Amino acid sequence: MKCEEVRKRMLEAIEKGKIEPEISLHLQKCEGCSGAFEEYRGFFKLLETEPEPSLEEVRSPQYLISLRERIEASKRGWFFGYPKPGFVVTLAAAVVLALIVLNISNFSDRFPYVATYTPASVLEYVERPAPTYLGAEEELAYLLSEVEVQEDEELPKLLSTSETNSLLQAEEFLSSEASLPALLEDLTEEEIEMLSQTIENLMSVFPSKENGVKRC
Amino acid sequence: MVERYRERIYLLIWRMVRNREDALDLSQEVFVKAYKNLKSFRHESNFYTWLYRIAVNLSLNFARREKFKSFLSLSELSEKSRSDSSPSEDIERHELSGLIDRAVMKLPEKQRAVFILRHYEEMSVREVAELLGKSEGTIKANYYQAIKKLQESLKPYVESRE
Repeated sequence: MKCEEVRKRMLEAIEKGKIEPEISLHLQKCEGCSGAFEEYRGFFKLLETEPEPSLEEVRSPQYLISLRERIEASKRGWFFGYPKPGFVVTLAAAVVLALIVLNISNFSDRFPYVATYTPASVLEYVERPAPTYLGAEEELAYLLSEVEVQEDEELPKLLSTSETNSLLQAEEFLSSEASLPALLEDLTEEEIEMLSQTIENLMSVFPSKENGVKRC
Repeated sequence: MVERYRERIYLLIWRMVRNREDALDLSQEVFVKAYKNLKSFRHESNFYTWLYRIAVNLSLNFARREKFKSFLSLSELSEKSRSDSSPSEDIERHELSGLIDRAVMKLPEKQRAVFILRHYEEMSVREVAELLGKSEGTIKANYYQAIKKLQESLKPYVESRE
């Protein structure tokens, strides 16, 4: 039996607490697999010692009272009796937000000097050939003027570390399998409002067209 | 229905979200959904499997929302709510629990769901595949990946105990 096969079947053997003879034979001969086997065993032992969460609250009468209230509230309507926004409204909001979010998701590809912003990285970027879609001279002039004016200070038109992190998280989120419309259905109006506001804020700190660089 | 299943559903969700308040809230949501959709329950699967599916889907949606909130830079708020555990719970939660919490929460959502259903709920690969609507091969791969990642995260702790 090959090591790869043994390692795949190890999990099952440990969980069942029964090691088949062919696996056992392989483990006796193969140091690598027997080491891996011990590691797995240690890992599962560790999980067994994990403390259980307390069930006190879920067993309390209060849990049932509060559940009954929620069921009653769900009978009354979506939000204190107000109807749920129609599908068209939700879809329109989703499309608008998706366009905005997707638009910023390409930001780090198009503007690597911003996404990984440090004054040094800006300088490094300036030395590279500028991408043609911006107009090389225009972009270079813009970047040089920023660097000359600001020198080693932070560049206010560029992104802060937290904003860069937000963008990276946005990219990670967008590359996940989550569906934005499905997600928006789950968000409250307040959260959607907050999302719009956050995206607006992020967009406002991007280099704008008026400053000589295209918004991505 | 609630009397019979609330503890199991709560435990399942707690393992997915690793937070007491969220788990309480989501477990109630499961019963509200079940109550509202009782008519759509088809007797092809057993009732508990149906409840499981609602619980797992709600937990996965919740995890996505949390991820989304963190994207919105609301992570500080989420962190705050996470630390709102009761004093007795704080005392009980020792090092190991915290380590496993963090390791499980670091898993991608689907791997986390597969790991919890397989390991804690002791469901077979086939049952998990049916519940999550995936092939058995996918579930096996997800489970293997989840174990590898957890093992890697917890390795220093395992070694220090040996």
